[in-house]
Amino acid sequence: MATCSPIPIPPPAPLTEAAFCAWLGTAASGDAIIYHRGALARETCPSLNLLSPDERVRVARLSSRALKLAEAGHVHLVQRRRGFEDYDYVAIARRRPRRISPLLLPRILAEAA
Amino acid sequence: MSHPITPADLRTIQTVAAEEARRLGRSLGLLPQDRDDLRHDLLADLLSRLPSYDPAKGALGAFARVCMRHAALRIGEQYRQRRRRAHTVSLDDRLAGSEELTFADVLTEADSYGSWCGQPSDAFAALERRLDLERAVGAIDPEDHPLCAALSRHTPHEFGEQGTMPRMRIYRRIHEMRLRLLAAGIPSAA
Repeated sequence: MATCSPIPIPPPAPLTEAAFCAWLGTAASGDAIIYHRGALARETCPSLNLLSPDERVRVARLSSRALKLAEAGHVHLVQRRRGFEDYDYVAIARRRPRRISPLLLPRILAEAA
Repeated sequence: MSHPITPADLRTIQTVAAEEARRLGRSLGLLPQDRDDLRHDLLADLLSRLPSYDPAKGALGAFARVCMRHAALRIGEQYRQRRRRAHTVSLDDRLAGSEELTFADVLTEADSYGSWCGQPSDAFAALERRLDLERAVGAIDPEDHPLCAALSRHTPHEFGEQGTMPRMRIYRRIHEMRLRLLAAGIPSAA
């Protein structure tokens, strides 16, 4: 667990998976966003019923997407503790790879032909 | 045709071929020097039909004219189709409304023939497009490349009809690809 230096801006409305991806698409390296506040592990547990089903699905999808993007190297995921079981879950955009493998495009074009 | 062709028959056929070639060349707007090619094509077509000529039914000249008119229709249509597909123009032709400029004067070597056809010839735009494509390809899971290739030819509904992949999976993968592209800074055009 690490702390982030940039000051994250909380989103005005509940963030959806698509909105999170759209933010990342336009984010510069180092930009940060709080994609959730609370205790993710507890809130996404169905048996605890802490959130409504729709809200739980939204949060679960969002956190899953954030994890996938972190695994793909697009974001850093960090948390800031605000109190007992109260965290800011922050995603920080990483620098995009300058260039992908030059062999990839000819391969997919050949598949499409 | 049971009897051999006499010199008189040949003269008749040559005369009809020349007339029909001239008529066809005029209707296609061809230069006089192209009429020899047309005449040759008409004669070649007639030669293949001569065995079915019956002198009892009419004169050879009439038979040759009917055959050549039909052949001229076919040749004319083929020529028009070719002309629709590719506009034949010489680089030395004068530009419309200009006494001095030719096509070669307004097309640069780098732009090539494609620019005259309205195709993009901007090297920078082409490079940017290639980089965008590479970025998009890099954002998509390699497992989805065959699906992308299929979607370039079919709608998701049509692809689902083929039974290659369950419809539910197709739409799930499309949703996933959209989100990945969005995260890579490539929003949907729609």
